[in-house]
Amino acid sequence: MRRNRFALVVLFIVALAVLSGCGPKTASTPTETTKTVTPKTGPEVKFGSYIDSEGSILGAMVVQMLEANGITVVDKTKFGTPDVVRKAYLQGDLSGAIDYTGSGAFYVGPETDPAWSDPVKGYALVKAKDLAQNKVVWTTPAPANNTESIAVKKEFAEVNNLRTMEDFAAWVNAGKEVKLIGAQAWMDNPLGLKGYEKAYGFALKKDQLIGLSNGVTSEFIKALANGTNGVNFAEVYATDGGLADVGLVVLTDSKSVPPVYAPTPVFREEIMTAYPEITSILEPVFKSLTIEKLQSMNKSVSIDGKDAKAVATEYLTTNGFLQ
Amino acid sequence: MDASVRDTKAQARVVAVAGSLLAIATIFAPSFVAFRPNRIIEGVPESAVSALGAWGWILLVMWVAAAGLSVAPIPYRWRGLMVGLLGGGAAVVATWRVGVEAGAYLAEKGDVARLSLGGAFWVLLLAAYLVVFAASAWTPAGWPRLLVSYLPAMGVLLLLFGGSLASLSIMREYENNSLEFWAQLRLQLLYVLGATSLGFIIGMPLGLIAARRPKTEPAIFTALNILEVLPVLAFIGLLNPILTGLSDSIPLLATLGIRGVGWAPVLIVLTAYAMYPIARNSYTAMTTLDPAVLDAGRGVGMKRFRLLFEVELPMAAPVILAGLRIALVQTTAGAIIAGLVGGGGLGTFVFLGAAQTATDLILLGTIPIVVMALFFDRSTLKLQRFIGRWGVAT
Repeated sequence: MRRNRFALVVLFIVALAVLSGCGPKTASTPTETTKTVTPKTGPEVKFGSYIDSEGSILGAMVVQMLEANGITVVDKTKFGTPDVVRKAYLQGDLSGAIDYTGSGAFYVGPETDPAWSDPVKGYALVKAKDLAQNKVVWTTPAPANNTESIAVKKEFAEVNNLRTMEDFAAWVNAGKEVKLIGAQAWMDNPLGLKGYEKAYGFALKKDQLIGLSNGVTSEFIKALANGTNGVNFAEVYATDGGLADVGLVVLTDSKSVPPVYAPTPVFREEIMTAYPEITSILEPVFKSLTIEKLQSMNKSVSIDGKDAKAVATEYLTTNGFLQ
Repeated sequence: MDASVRDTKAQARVVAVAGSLLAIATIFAPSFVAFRPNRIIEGVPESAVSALGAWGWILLVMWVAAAGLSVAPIPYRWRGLMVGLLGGGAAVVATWRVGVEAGAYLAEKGDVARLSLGGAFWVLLLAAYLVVFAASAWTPAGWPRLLVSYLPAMGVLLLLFGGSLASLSIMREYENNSLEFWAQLRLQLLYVLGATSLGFIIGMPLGLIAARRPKTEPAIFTALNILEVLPVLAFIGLLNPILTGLSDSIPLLATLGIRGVGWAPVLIVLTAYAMYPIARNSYTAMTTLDPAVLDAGRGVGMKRFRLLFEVELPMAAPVILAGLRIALVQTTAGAIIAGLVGGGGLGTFVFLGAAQTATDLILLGTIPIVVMALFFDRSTLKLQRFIGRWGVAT
């Protein structure tokens, strides 16, 4: 009894201190300084993103740019998994989000359309169809393709002369050792691993694959870098920031099999009707986001551990999009 | 000193020695801290003796002394004071030194470098908790016990909020998320308290009905069982079309923010999970009441409602509260799922940390959950015992 009182009191003190005693440090919200613009009347914009580094950065950029132009924004970045984010902005729980053009293959289809592998045609297709079917507006995409690729360790690639997907196909067909880790959805996808197998003429056996239910590429990268369970190939995203730092290289895909995934801010139609200027506010920012810039910013957040909002602010100010 | 008190003090000796030995092991364990070139790379794990230098040996001496004094033939009051202050002090010293080491490491390697706390460090804190716990049982109530109990916790809190730990990797994660952290913590608390209260309001009457009308019992508990075993993501997935449909057809729900994603499905799922232990315990409590007491109540002319509120519920209260306690602790951990489905909460850090394989960000979300769960567990246990005594007294 007495001993419990002690434990209780200590826990109570800790909890009290944690919960009340110490609020957040007085924050200098980066956007506060630019809020000299008079606020516009109209609906608030609930802007979301995936729960990952790139989503945090690009989401923060949109939030900051819209706020700087007097639009009331509710920061819903890091909202959830891709399917949750898509549902949320279709159903109106979000007003908009960062999405990827290639996902249109699964949103509006058909998956077999070769347009998805082309940055211009794929964007045009999802833009037209998503507006007609779901009243969703795709604004200007970044000229970067965050596609899925297969990565190997740099040394391993050099020793075995693995540079392209053709080399990989030859490697597989020669019966050499392969342990590929990736998302199960990607492995079963006709535009994913199945597409590579068809295009380059190879077939991996079940025991050469480790398929995980989630698509968290940093786990795949970690497994490859550490050689966990004999993994020697891994699915990665092209804009993953940490590839070079952990000594990995991507196999070049000359046939561009997977869809082009260009990050794009998308909004519900009523938001674009209320604030048609959103297009011109975001266009210069997203047009400037090349794959190198995305990689370097993703690295700052996921490897160097910098704050995504601060990374976004720094990019926007040094490039003159924000004062 | 009666026999039971002597027993408690002898048992505490075992706890104190075990805790001290565990702590000694952590000093030599290879993963006290990890020096990492950046946030993702695993880095080099080091033991306390190699990372903290002379301070590692000082810690060792403190723990050996604590272990020795625990079994030394000194009066309990002095033993408790010395062992408690040594054990608690060692935890504070270890925490302070890793903070200092982190600062030095960052100053040398630059801002990108990280010093992460390893498994051995956390075990050391646990061991110190055990030792202090035992020592407080030896010290007489009053200021000696307060000193033994609070001083170490105060020391660690002082280091934490005084900024001595600011260079540690987990505090760097906090720094990056400091604004969001408190908002998400509050949200997590709202989910836990909201869902458990709702679970209580619905679950307790269900348990009472099942106890009163035995024919309803299979139906009620089959339904609750099915809800309880539904995997959480599947449950939320099933709710999505239902809630979306409701929200589209009833504008009021939409204005309240009840939609297929976000807080609404999370609250519903957590409530459903909380209902089961509360209903089950209410049922058990009501069906195992002593019939003689009920007869006595009826004998003095009590009608059904007076009997329920003045006899049955007070007697059943401790068991019902035990169910509430299980529900609270379970919901505290369960609420992290909100982070995956747009509901926010501490799960945001857990899942973002998982996505970036940043262990310290995961810990930033997990440690408050553990503290919260322990706090709820302890405080409801206390309440349960208090009401137990009160129930007997009435």
